[in-house]
Amino acid sequence: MIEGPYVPQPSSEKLKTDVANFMARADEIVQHPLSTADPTFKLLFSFDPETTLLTSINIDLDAIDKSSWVYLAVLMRPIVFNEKDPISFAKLTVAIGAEHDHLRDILKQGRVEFLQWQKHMYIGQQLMGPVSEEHRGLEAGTVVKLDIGEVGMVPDGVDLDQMVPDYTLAKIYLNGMLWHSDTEKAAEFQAASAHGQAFYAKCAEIRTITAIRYVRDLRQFIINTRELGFDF
Amino acid sequence: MAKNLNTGEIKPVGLKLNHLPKEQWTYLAVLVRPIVFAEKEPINLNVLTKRIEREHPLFQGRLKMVRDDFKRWKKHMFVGRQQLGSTATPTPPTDLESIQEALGVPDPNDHADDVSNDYQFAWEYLNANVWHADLDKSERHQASSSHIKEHYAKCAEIRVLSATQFALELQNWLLGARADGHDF
Repeated sequence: MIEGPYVPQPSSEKLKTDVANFMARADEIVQHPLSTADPTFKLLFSFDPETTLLTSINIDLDAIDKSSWVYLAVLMRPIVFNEKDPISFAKLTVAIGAEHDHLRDILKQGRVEFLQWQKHMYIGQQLMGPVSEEHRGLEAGTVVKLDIGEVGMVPDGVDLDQMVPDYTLAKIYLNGMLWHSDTEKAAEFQAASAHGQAFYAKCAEIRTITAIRYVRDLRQFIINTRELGFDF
Repeated sequence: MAKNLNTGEIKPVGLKLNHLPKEQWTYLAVLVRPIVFAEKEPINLNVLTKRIEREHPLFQGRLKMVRDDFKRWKKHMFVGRQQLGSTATPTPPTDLESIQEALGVPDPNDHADDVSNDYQFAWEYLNANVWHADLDKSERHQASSSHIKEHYAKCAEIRVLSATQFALELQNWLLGARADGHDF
Protein backbone atom coordinates (compact mmCIF):
# COMPACT_ATOMS: atom_id res chain seq x y z
CA MET A 1 0.00 0.00 0.00
CA ILE A 2 1.11 3.55 -0.69
CA GLU A 3 0.63 5.76 2.34
CA GLY A 4 0.68 9.43 3.21
CA PRO A 5 3.37 11.72 2.02
CA TYR A 6 5.51 9.08 0.40
CA VAL A 7 7.50 10.59 -2.43
CA PRO A 8 8.49 8.07 -5.07
CA GLN A 9 12.16 7.77 -5.90
CA PRO A 10 13.28 8.57 -9.44
CA SER A 11 13.36 5.60 -11.78
CA SER A 12 16.35 4.57 -13.86
CA GLU A 13 16.39 5.34 -17.57
CA LYS A 14 16.34 1.61 -18.25
CA LEU A 15 13.13 1.15 -16.29
CA LYS A 16 11.51 4.13 -18.02
CA THR A 17 12.41 2.69 -21.43
CA ASP A 18 11.10 -0.76 -20.58
CA VAL A 19 7.85 0.54 -19.11
CA ALA A 20 7.33 2.78 -22.15
CA ASN A 21 7.82 -0.20 -24.43
CA PHE A 22 5.38 -2.25 -22.36
CA MET A 23 2.79 0.53 -22.37
CA ALA A 24 3.00 1.08 -26.12
CA ARG A 25 2.18 -2.59 -26.65
CA ALA A 26 -0.39 -2.73 -23.86
CA ASP A 27 -2.27 0.29 -25.25
CA GLU A 28 -2.60 -1.49 -28.56
CA ILE A 29 -3.53 -4.80 -26.97
CA VAL A 30 -6.40 -3.41 -24.87
CA GLN A 31 -7.81 -1.61 -27.91
CA HIS A 32 -7.73 -4.70 -30.10
CA PRO A 33 -11.18 -6.15 -30.92
CA LEU A 34 -10.16 -9.49 -29.39
CA SER A 35 -9.24 -7.90 -26.06
CA THR A 36 -12.75 -8.57 -24.76
CA ALA A 37 -13.21 -11.91 -26.49
CA ASP A 38 -13.38 -15.31 -24.87
CA PRO A 39 -12.00 -18.40 -26.56
CA THR A 40 -14.77 -20.91 -27.17
CA PHE A 41 -15.52 -24.37 -28.50
CA LYS A 42 -18.71 -25.51 -30.11
CA LEU A 43 -20.33 -28.86 -29.64
CA LEU A 44 -22.55 -29.79 -32.57
CA PHE A 45 -25.34 -32.20 -31.75
CA SER A 46 -26.96 -34.04 -34.65
CA PHE A 47 -30.37 -35.67 -34.34
CA ASP A 48 -32.31 -38.03 -36.57
CA PRO A 49 -35.28 -35.89 -37.68
CA GLU A 50 -37.67 -38.85 -37.63
CA THR A 51 -36.76 -40.54 -34.39
CA THR A 52 -35.26 -37.41 -32.75
CA LEU A 53 -32.52 -39.68 -31.44
CA LEU A 54 -29.05 -38.23 -31.03
CA THR A 55 -26.92 -39.53 -33.89
CA SER A 56 -23.57 -37.82 -33.28
CA ILE A 57 -21.75 -35.08 -31.44
CA ASN A 58 -18.90 -33.22 -33.08
CA ILE A 59 -16.51 -30.70 -31.67
CA ASP A 60 -15.92 -27.49 -33.57
CA LEU A 61 -12.79 -25.68 -32.42
CA ASP A 62 -14.43 -22.38 -33.35
CA ALA A 63 -11.05 -20.96 -34.30
CA ILE A 64 -10.66 -17.20 -34.39
CA ASP A 65 -9.16 -15.68 -37.54
CA LYS A 66 -5.49 -16.64 -37.27
CA SER A 67 -4.03 -13.36 -38.50
CA SER A 68 -5.97 -11.52 -35.83
CA TRP A 69 -4.86 -13.50 -32.78
CA VAL A 70 -1.33 -13.96 -34.10
CA TYR A 71 -0.99 -10.20 -34.29
CA LEU A 72 -1.99 -10.02 -30.63
CA ALA A 73 0.34 -12.89 -29.81
CA VAL A 74 3.35 -11.12 -31.28
CA LEU A 75 2.49 -7.92 -29.42
CA MET A 76 2.38 -9.97 -26.24
CA ARG A 77 5.36 -12.17 -27.05
CA PRO A 78 7.97 -10.23 -25.04
CA ILE A 79 5.51 -9.77 -22.17
CA VAL A 80 3.88 -13.16 -21.89
CA PHE A 81 5.67 -15.81 -23.92
CA ASN A 82 9.33 -14.83 -23.88
CA GLU A 83 10.49 -14.83 -20.30
CA LYS A 84 13.96 -13.51 -21.07
CA ASP A 85 12.79 -10.25 -22.61
CA PRO A 86 13.26 -7.19 -20.38
CA ILE A 87 9.52 -6.46 -20.47
CA SER A 88 8.38 -9.98 -19.64
CA PHE A 89 5.73 -9.94 -16.94
CA ALA A 90 8.12 -11.38 -14.37
CA LYS A 91 11.16 -9.28 -15.28
CA LEU A 92 9.31 -6.00 -15.56
CA THR A 93 7.44 -6.37 -12.28
CA VAL A 94 10.66 -7.39 -10.51
CA ALA A 95 12.45 -4.40 -12.06
CA ILE A 96 9.73 -1.98 -10.88
CA GLY A 97 9.74 -3.50 -7.41
CA ALA A 98 13.52 -3.35 -7.21
CA GLU A 99 13.50 0.41 -7.76
CA HIS A 100 10.29 1.12 -5.83
CA ASP A 101 10.07 -1.04 -2.75
CA HIS A 102 6.61 0.26 -1.81
CA LEU A 103 5.23 -1.47 -4.88
CA ARG A 104 7.05 -4.73 -4.37
CA ASP A 105 4.38 -6.70 -2.51
CA ILE A 106 1.51 -5.91 -4.82
CA LEU A 107 3.66 -6.74 -7.85
CA LYS A 108 4.67 -10.00 -6.24
CA GLN A 109 1.00 -10.88 -5.92
CA GLY A 110 0.62 -10.15 -9.63
CA ARG A 111 3.44 -12.55 -10.42
CA VAL A 112 1.83 -15.25 -8.31
CA GLU A 113 -1.40 -14.91 -10.28
CA PHE A 114 0.47 -14.92 -13.57
CA LEU A 115 2.26 -18.10 -12.52
CA GLN A 116 -1.09 -19.66 -11.63
CA TRP A 117 -2.36 -18.77 -15.09
CA GLN A 118 0.65 -20.46 -16.66
CA LYS A 119 -0.06 -23.62 -14.69
CA HIS A 120 -3.81 -23.56 -15.14
CA MET A 121 -5.10 -26.06 -17.69
CA TYR A 122 -7.97 -24.69 -19.76
CA ILE A 123 -8.08 -27.78 -21.92
CA GLY A 124 -6.01 -30.93 -21.94
CA GLN A 125 -5.10 -33.68 -24.28
CA GLN A 126 -4.62 -37.30 -23.33
CA LEU A 127 -3.45 -40.13 -25.51
CA MET A 128 -5.98 -42.89 -25.04
CA GLY A 129 -4.08 -45.60 -26.90
CA PRO A 130 -5.23 -47.36 -30.06
CA VAL A 131 -8.72 -46.53 -31.32
CA SER A 132 -11.16 -49.18 -30.13
CA GLU A 133 -12.99 -51.29 -32.70
CA GLU A 134 -16.35 -49.59 -32.10
CA HIS A 135 -14.88 -46.15 -32.79
CA ARG A 136 -12.85 -46.98 -35.87
CA GLY A 137 -13.79 -45.08 -39.01
CA LEU A 138 -15.36 -42.17 -37.19
CA GLU A 139 -14.72 -38.71 -38.55
CA ALA A 140 -11.96 -36.73 -36.78
CA GLY A 141 -13.52 -34.54 -34.13
CA THR A 142 -16.34 -36.94 -33.35
CA VAL A 143 -17.21 -36.88 -29.66
CA VAL A 144 -17.55 -40.38 -28.19
CA LYS A 145 -18.01 -39.42 -24.55
CA LEU A 146 -19.33 -36.28 -22.98
CA ASP A 147 -19.56 -35.42 -19.29
CA ILE A 148 -21.07 -32.11 -18.26
CA GLY A 149 -20.84 -30.88 -14.71
CA GLU A 150 -19.74 -28.16 -12.35
CA VAL A 151 -16.62 -26.15 -13.10
CA GLY A 152 -13.68 -27.98 -11.58
CA MET A 153 -15.31 -31.38 -11.84
CA VAL A 154 -13.11 -34.10 -13.29
CA PRO A 155 -15.01 -36.84 -15.13
CA ASP A 156 -14.56 -40.44 -14.06
CA GLY A 157 -11.63 -42.14 -15.68
CA VAL A 158 -9.77 -38.92 -16.45
CA ASP A 159 -6.38 -38.61 -14.82
CA LEU A 160 -5.23 -35.00 -14.96
CA ASP A 161 -1.62 -36.09 -14.45
CA GLN A 162 -1.82 -37.95 -17.74
CA MET A 163 -3.02 -34.93 -19.67
CA VAL A 164 -0.88 -32.59 -21.70
CA PRO A 165 -2.02 -29.07 -20.78
CA ASP A 166 -2.88 -26.47 -23.39
CA TYR A 167 0.08 -24.28 -22.39
CA THR A 168 2.49 -27.02 -23.44
CA LEU A 169 0.73 -27.50 -26.77
CA ALA A 170 0.58 -23.75 -27.32
CA LYS A 171 4.34 -23.45 -26.82
CA ILE A 172 4.93 -26.25 -29.31
CA TYR A 173 2.86 -24.35 -31.86
CA LEU A 174 4.36 -20.93 -31.16
CA ASN A 175 7.96 -22.11 -31.08
CA GLY A 176 7.70 -24.76 -33.76
CA MET A 177 5.43 -23.13 -36.30
CA LEU A 178 5.27 -19.42 -35.68
CA TRP A 179 8.07 -17.21 -34.43
CA HIS A 180 10.59 -20.02 -34.28
CA SER A 181 10.94 -23.16 -36.32
CA ASP A 182 12.37 -25.51 -33.66
CA THR A 183 12.86 -28.79 -35.48
CA GLU A 184 11.69 -31.03 -32.65
CA LYS A 185 8.51 -29.05 -32.02
CA ALA A 186 7.78 -28.67 -35.74
CA ALA A 187 8.13 -32.44 -36.15
CA GLU A 188 5.67 -33.04 -33.30
CA PHE A 189 3.17 -30.66 -34.89
CA GLN A 190 3.62 -32.09 -38.38
CA ALA A 191 3.06 -35.64 -37.10
CA ALA A 192 -0.42 -34.72 -35.89
CA SER A 193 -3.59 -35.15 -37.95
CA ALA A 194 -5.24 -32.07 -39.44
CA HIS A 195 -7.62 -32.04 -36.48
CA GLY A 196 -4.70 -32.42 -34.08
CA GLN A 197 -2.87 -29.53 -35.73
CA ALA A 198 -5.94 -27.34 -35.43
CA PHE A 199 -6.05 -28.28 -31.74
CA TYR A 200 -2.44 -27.09 -31.26
CA ALA A 201 -3.36 -23.78 -32.89
CA LYS A 202 -6.46 -23.51 -30.70
CA CYS A 203 -4.31 -23.91 -27.61
CA ALA A 204 -2.07 -21.05 -28.76
CA GLU A 205 -5.15 -18.95 -29.45
CA ILE A 206 -6.54 -19.71 -25.98
CA ARG A 207 -3.27 -18.79 -24.33
CA THR A 208 -3.06 -15.54 -26.27
CA ILE A 209 -6.60 -14.43 -25.50
CA THR A 210 -6.54 -15.44 -21.84
CA ALA A 211 -3.22 -13.65 -21.28
CA ILE A 212 -4.73 -10.28 -22.17
CA ARG A 213 -6.07 -9.72 -18.66
CA TYR A 214 -2.54 -9.76 -17.21
CA VAL A 215 -1.41 -7.15 -19.71
CA ARG A 216 -4.51 -5.07 -18.97
CA ASP A 217 -4.03 -5.34 -15.20
CA LEU A 218 -0.36 -4.39 -15.30
CA ARG A 219 -1.12 -1.50 -17.66
CA GLN A 220 -3.79 -0.21 -15.29
CA PHE A 221 -1.43 -0.59 -12.35
CA ILE A 222 1.18 1.51 -14.16
CA ILE A 223 -1.40 4.17 -15.04
CA ASN A 224 -2.54 4.31 -11.41
CA THR A 225 0.96 4.52 -9.99
CA ARG A 226 1.92 7.22 -12.49
CA GLU A 227 -1.01 9.25 -11.19
CA LEU A 228 0.47 8.82 -7.73
CA GLY A 229 3.71 10.39 -8.89
CA PHE A 230 5.81 7.46 -10.03
CA ASP A 231 7.90 8.56 -12.98
CA PHE A 232 8.31 5.33 -14.98
CA MET B 1 4.72 18.43 -55.18
CA ALA B 2 1.80 20.80 -55.59
CA LYS B 3 1.45 23.09 -58.62
CA ASN B 4 -0.60 26.24 -58.55
CA LEU B 5 -2.45 26.19 -61.87
CA ASN B 6 -2.83 29.98 -61.96
CA THR B 7 0.70 31.02 -61.16
CA GLY B 8 2.54 27.87 -62.15
CA GLU B 9 4.33 27.90 -58.81
CA ILE B 10 5.49 24.53 -57.56
CA LYS B 11 5.69 23.88 -53.86
CA PRO B 12 6.90 20.84 -51.90
CA VAL B 13 4.06 19.30 -49.89
CA GLY B 14 5.96 16.78 -47.78
CA LEU B 15 6.27 13.04 -47.84
CA LYS B 16 3.36 10.74 -47.07
CA LEU B 17 4.58 7.36 -45.94
CA ASN B 18 1.35 5.66 -46.89
CA HIS B 19 1.53 2.99 -44.20
CA LEU B 20 -0.25 -0.29 -44.71
CA PRO B 21 -2.34 -1.53 -41.77
CA LYS B 22 0.19 -2.57 -39.15
CA GLU B 23 -1.81 -5.62 -38.18
CA GLN B 24 -1.55 -7.01 -41.72
CA TRP B 25 2.16 -6.61 -42.35
CA THR B 26 3.06 -7.61 -38.79
CA TYR B 27 1.25 -10.91 -39.31
CA LEU B 28 3.30 -11.45 -42.47
CA ALA B 29 6.43 -10.46 -40.54
CA VAL B 30 5.85 -13.23 -38.01
CA LEU B 31 5.37 -15.78 -40.78
CA VAL B 32 8.59 -14.81 -42.58
CA ARG B 33 10.58 -14.28 -39.40
CA PRO B 34 12.21 -17.73 -39.17
CA ILE B 35 12.86 -17.74 -42.92
CA VAL B 36 14.23 -14.25 -43.39
CA PHE B 37 14.92 -12.34 -40.21
CA ALA B 38 16.07 -14.93 -37.64
CA GLU B 39 19.34 -16.13 -39.09
CA LYS B 40 19.89 -19.06 -36.76
CA GLU B 41 16.57 -20.77 -37.37
CA PRO B 42 16.70 -24.18 -39.09
CA ILE B 43 14.40 -22.91 -41.85
CA ASN B 44 16.25 -19.66 -42.39
CA LEU B 45 16.87 -19.24 -46.12
CA ASN B 46 20.66 -19.49 -45.78
CA VAL B 47 20.57 -22.36 -43.31
CA LEU B 48 17.93 -24.38 -45.16
CA THR B 49 19.45 -24.05 -48.64
CA LYS B 50 22.88 -25.07 -47.32
CA ARG B 51 21.37 -28.09 -45.57
CA ILE B 52 19.64 -29.17 -48.76
CA GLU B 53 22.87 -28.83 -50.73
CA ARG B 54 24.78 -30.80 -48.12
CA GLU B 55 22.34 -33.70 -48.09
CA HIS B 56 21.71 -33.70 -51.84
CA PRO B 57 25.00 -33.31 -53.73
CA LEU B 58 23.04 -32.96 -56.97
CA PHE B 59 22.06 -29.49 -55.83
CA GLN B 60 25.57 -28.56 -54.69
CA GLY B 61 26.08 -24.90 -55.51
CA ARG B 62 22.75 -24.54 -57.29
CA LEU B 63 21.11 -22.71 -54.44
CA LYS B 64 23.99 -20.32 -53.99
CA MET B 65 22.39 -17.83 -56.34
CA VAL B 66 19.33 -17.77 -54.09
CA ARG B 67 21.59 -16.92 -51.18
CA ASP B 68 23.41 -14.32 -53.27
CA ASP B 69 20.10 -12.69 -54.21
CA PHE B 70 19.14 -12.67 -50.56
CA LYS B 71 22.45 -11.07 -49.62
CA ARG B 72 21.99 -8.41 -52.29
CA TRP B 73 18.48 -7.75 -51.06
CA LYS B 74 19.80 -7.06 -47.58
CA LYS B 75 22.30 -4.57 -48.97
CA HIS B 76 19.87 -2.98 -51.40
CA MET B 77 18.56 0.33 -50.16
CA PHE B 78 14.86 0.79 -50.83
CA VAL B 79 14.71 4.06 -48.93
CA GLY B 80 17.52 6.06 -47.37
CA ARG B 81 18.04 8.90 -45.01
CA GLN B 82 20.74 11.50 -45.03
CA GLN B 83 21.77 13.91 -42.33
CA LEU B 84 21.26 17.34 -43.81
CA GLY B 85 22.11 19.23 -40.66
CA SER B 86 19.97 20.95 -38.12
CA THR B 87 17.32 23.47 -39.14
CA ALA B 88 17.77 25.22 -35.82
CA THR B 89 21.36 26.31 -36.43
CA PRO B 90 22.73 27.92 -39.57
CA THR B 91 26.11 26.21 -39.26
CA PRO B 92 26.62 22.55 -40.12
CA PRO B 93 26.56 20.21 -37.10
CA THR B 94 29.95 19.20 -35.83
CA ASP B 95 29.07 16.35 -33.47
CA LEU B 96 27.45 13.91 -35.86
CA GLU B 97 27.35 11.07 -33.38
CA SER B 98 25.26 12.92 -30.82
CA ILE B 99 22.94 14.29 -33.50
CA GLN B 100 22.41 10.82 -34.87
CA GLU B 101 21.70 9.55 -31.39
CA ALA B 102 19.16 12.32 -30.78
CA LEU B 103 17.46 11.54 -34.06
CA GLY B 104 17.32 7.87 -33.25
CA VAL B 105 19.62 6.70 -36.01
CA PRO B 106 20.48 3.04 -35.36
CA ASP B 107 23.93 2.12 -34.16
CA PRO B 108 25.92 1.54 -37.36
CA ASN B 109 28.03 -1.10 -35.65
CA ASP B 110 25.08 -3.42 -35.26
CA HIS B 111 25.24 -4.73 -38.80
CA ALA B 112 28.39 -3.09 -40.16
CA ASP B 113 28.38 -3.05 -43.97
CA ASP B 114 26.31 -6.18 -44.50
CA VAL B 115 22.96 -4.45 -44.75
CA SER B 116 21.48 -1.26 -46.07
CA ASN B 117 20.33 1.64 -43.97
CA ASP B 118 16.63 0.80 -44.24
CA TYR B 119 17.28 -2.85 -43.38
CA GLN B 120 18.97 -1.66 -40.23
CA PHE B 121 16.03 0.54 -39.33
CA ALA B 122 13.69 -2.38 -39.98
CA TRP B 123 15.86 -4.70 -37.91
CA GLU B 124 15.84 -2.27 -35.01
CA TYR B 125 12.08 -1.79 -35.20
CA LEU B 126 11.29 -5.50 -35.34
CA ASN B 127 13.56 -6.29 -32.41
CA ALA B 128 12.41 -3.41 -30.24
CA ASN B 129 8.74 -3.16 -31.12
CA VAL B 130 7.58 -6.43 -32.54
CA TRP B 131 9.02 -9.80 -31.47
CA HIS B 132 11.48 -8.52 -28.88
CA ALA B 133 11.77 -5.51 -26.62
CA ASP B 134 15.55 -5.04 -26.74
CA LEU B 135 16.54 -2.24 -24.42
CA ASP B 136 19.14 -0.45 -26.56
CA LYS B 137 16.96 -0.50 -29.66
CA SER B 138 13.90 0.59 -27.68
CA GLU B 139 15.88 3.52 -26.28
CA ARG B 140 16.83 4.71 -29.74
CA HIS B 141 13.30 4.31 -31.04
CA GLN B 142 11.72 6.12 -28.11
CA ALA B 143 14.23 8.98 -28.38
CA SER B 144 13.19 9.58 -31.98
CA SER B 145 10.78 12.15 -33.28
CA SER B 146 7.37 10.91 -34.37
CA HIS B 147 8.42 11.28 -38.02
CA ILE B 148 11.52 9.14 -37.48
CA LYS B 149 9.38 6.58 -35.65
CA GLU B 150 7.18 6.40 -38.72
CA HIS B 151 10.27 5.95 -40.83
CA TYR B 152 11.31 3.00 -38.62
CA ALA B 153 7.92 1.36 -39.10
CA LYS B 154 7.90 2.06 -42.83
CA CYS B 155 11.32 0.44 -43.25
CA ALA B 156 10.07 -2.64 -41.41
CA GLU B 157 6.94 -2.74 -43.56
CA ILE B 158 9.01 -2.44 -46.76
CA ARG B 159 11.40 -5.16 -45.65
CA VAL B 160 8.60 -7.54 -44.69
CA LEU B 161 6.70 -7.12 -47.93
CA SER B 162 9.78 -7.37 -50.11
CA ALA B 163 11.03 -10.40 -48.13
CA THR B 164 8.03 -12.48 -49.05
CA GLN B 165 9.46 -12.97 -52.56
CA PHE B 166 12.24 -15.12 -51.09
CA ALA B 167 9.85 -17.29 -49.12
CA LEU B 168 7.65 -17.79 -52.19
CA GLU B 169 10.56 -18.50 -54.55
CA LEU B 170 12.03 -21.05 -52.16
CA GLN B 171 8.63 -22.67 -51.70
CA ASN B 172 8.23 -22.93 -55.48
CA TRP B 173 11.67 -24.44 -55.82
CA LEU B 174 10.89 -26.99 -53.08
CA LEU B 175 7.62 -27.94 -54.73
CA GLY B 176 9.44 -28.43 -58.04
CA ALA B 177 12.11 -30.56 -56.40
CA ARG B 178 9.43 -32.68 -54.72
CA ALA B 179 7.68 -33.12 -58.04
CA ASP B 180 11.00 -34.42 -59.36
CA GLY B 181 11.02 -37.08 -56.66
CA HIS B 182 13.00 -35.50 -53.84
CA ASP B 183 11.63 -36.50 -50.47
CA PHE B 184 12.20 -33.36 -48.42
